Amino acid sequence: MRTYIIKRLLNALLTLFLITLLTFFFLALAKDPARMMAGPEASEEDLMGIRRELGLDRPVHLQYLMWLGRVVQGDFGRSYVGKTAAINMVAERLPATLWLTVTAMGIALVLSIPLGMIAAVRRGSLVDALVSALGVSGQAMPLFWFGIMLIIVFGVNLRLFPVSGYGTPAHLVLPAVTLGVYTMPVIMRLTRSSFLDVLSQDYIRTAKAKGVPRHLVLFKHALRNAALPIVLMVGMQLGVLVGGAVVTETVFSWPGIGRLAVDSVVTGDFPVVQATVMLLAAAIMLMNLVADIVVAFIDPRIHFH
Amino acid sequence: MKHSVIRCCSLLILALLIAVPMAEAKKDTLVVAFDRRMMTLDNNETTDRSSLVLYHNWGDTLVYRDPVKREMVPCLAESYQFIDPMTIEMKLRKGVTFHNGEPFNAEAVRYSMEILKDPKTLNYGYFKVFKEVQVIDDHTVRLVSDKPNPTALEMIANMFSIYPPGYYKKVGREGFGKSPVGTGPYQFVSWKQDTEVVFKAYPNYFGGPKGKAKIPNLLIRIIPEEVTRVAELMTGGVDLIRGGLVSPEQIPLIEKNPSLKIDSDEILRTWYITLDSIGRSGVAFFKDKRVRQAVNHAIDKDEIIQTVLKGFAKVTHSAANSLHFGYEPNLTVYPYDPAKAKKLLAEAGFPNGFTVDYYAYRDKSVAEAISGYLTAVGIKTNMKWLGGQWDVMDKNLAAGSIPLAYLSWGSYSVFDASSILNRFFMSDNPQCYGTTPEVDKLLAEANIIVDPLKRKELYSRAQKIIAEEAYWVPLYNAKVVSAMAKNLNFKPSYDEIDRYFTAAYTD
Repeated sequence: MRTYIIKRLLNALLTLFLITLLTFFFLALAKDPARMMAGPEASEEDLMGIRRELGLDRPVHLQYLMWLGRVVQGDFGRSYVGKTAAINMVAERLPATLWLTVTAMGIALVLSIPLGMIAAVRRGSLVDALVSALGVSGQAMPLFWFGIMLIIVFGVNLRLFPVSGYGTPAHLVLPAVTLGVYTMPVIMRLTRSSFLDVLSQDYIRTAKAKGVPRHLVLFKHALRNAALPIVLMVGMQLGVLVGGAVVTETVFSWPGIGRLAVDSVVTGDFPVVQATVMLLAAAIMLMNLVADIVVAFIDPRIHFH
Repeated sequence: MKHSVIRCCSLLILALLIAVPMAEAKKDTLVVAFDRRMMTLDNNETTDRSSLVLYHNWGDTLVYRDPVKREMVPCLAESYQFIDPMTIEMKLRKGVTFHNGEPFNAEAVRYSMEILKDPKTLNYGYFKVFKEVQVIDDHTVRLVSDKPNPTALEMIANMFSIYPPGYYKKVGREGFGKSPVGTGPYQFVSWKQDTEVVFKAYPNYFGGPKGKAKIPNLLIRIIPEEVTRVAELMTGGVDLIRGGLVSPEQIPLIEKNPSLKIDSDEILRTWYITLDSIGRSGVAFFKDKRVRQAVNHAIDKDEIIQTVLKGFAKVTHSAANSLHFGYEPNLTVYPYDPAKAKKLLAEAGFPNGFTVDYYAYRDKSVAEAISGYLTAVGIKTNMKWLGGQWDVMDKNLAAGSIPLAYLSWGSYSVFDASSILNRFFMSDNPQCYGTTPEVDKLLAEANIIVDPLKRKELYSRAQKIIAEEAYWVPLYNAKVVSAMAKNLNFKPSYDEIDRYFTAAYTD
């Protein structure tokens, strides 16, 4: 078990390194932060002054190595534009994104697992067809469009919830539902197929034959076994949720790291982009690792090598 | 167990019900929607218009552009006069205090210029032409330039931020950007970078040409998505959307809503098509004047304005804007005439047209309409859409790699033809894609004299040549559109600087 975790962590480090390499060079190729800061009126001489100030006058690979050297020591550098420590800017916005993604995942689970179970138990029925249709349409709806529809229906027409902003539980509802519905179909379909698989197993038949009540068969015998792939999927979906948060946070003016990442890419604020991307990547890899470990605890058949 | 679940749910529902009406009660606060997180509130350290707009609400300038009279009036200065073409003497207003109680005086003006003359200041470049501020006495200063400076007052009214020396020295450059102190009608209260900036009216404001703030509190909300901004306006979450952040597609929706209204004003931004007349990009088609004239005849400007821009723009034929000093309306005009365009192309040796790369970065629907008009006369465009990234466009323009593009220029709120003509028609500028030696000479001369009549004459001649040579297709002058609650009395301004201190509720 321990060697497995160490191996996974080393793997994660290598992945992180590759991610920094990609983000750094793509961004350096596409963007000139000095020009973004100084505006179109600035002369070439002024731009050079800013580049010197930020250390951008050196060759890109040197910039990268120097940056990497500092990151290894735990220093992500200061935002070019905001002038504050990049890691602090990310940390300040982390709670907002956590609130949003965790609530969204909660909504997704509360909706998808019962629906998936019902569809599996009533396989081939009208209910099953309806759940499938819901899953397909949920998956096909662009996140952006769905968020705006919720704003129009529940914010503008019904006036049930604030349109955008942050601060009260009411502000959380529309963005969390948007993001929850976005991730729900995948979990729902997996629940259905996983349940179907388990329900055809011998031990379920045995349980039924023994006269175990139906709800106990479903919730005790079947759910526990069907849960394994679902837990793994939830771990993976958290990454997808963070990706979705970028769009959701923009639509609902939610002050999280998704918006920070977009803003920083637009302004070419390398240190902030790097800090955000690395933190998110690390978090997602950690989630996946945790999901794997949880599965190992639930499922005694899994052995770590 | 079951009971506690029900209790939790009902508590949550209750919390939601309470939370919603809380947003309603506010008549002493003006809530304005902005689009993007600002990096700093220090106007010297950014080129972001949001920070500039806010500066003019919490700070003042020595001279002020009065949007109603449309002229320059003294503000922090009591009076001013040009002693010679390089020197302006200003008598300063007495008894003015900064929000922290520091007195406004000649030293504050001198120190504020010192900040701008520090190469570490981001906007250092704008004020290079000013040499120094001489303190004559506690309430008299002289602003001295290196060379005759015809747009000095424009620059002072737009960008010369006056900061309190004591406070600035205490908190430093970065501290000031987070918690600014000025003399303006509103004073800074707090700032949450991603969500809001809060101001309140400054009780000891001197009034002057701007007048005291009419609404006691000002709340700026950052809402990046346009549809969300409009939805907030419809539900009363905001009272006003910052000028320039409402696109034509949203206008009919807002106009239909009985509790909202639209107002607009002409602004300095000119939209145009640039043609590479000297072949910098390696594309030679537009070196032929007949091809440039053909492009001019191919575009139906009126139709674009009526259908795509819903009428919120004004046709133009000059490279300068009609609000610019030096604008010339009487010049060569190319009416919409696709048949003539085809004929001119055939004469130039392209009876079957040609294919060319075409760049655009904003207003995609107009960019696509232009592409359609060009295709109709045989010029097939290979559209490169840069999705709002003006910096990428700018880099490519300066590098000389753009054969054809749909562009705009806002003249940095300088109401003088030099602010657009110099940049695009003086041969030593990297943004120049076509000019004549005569235009070059006319513009250079107008730069160093201050006599208005003579300058007007020089700019008029330059614009006539530019139009005759068809270096551009000048399309339209934009309008700034503000959307607001019906009970709000507010006018957007022709310099695109919203004056929130003038806003008032009618009920």
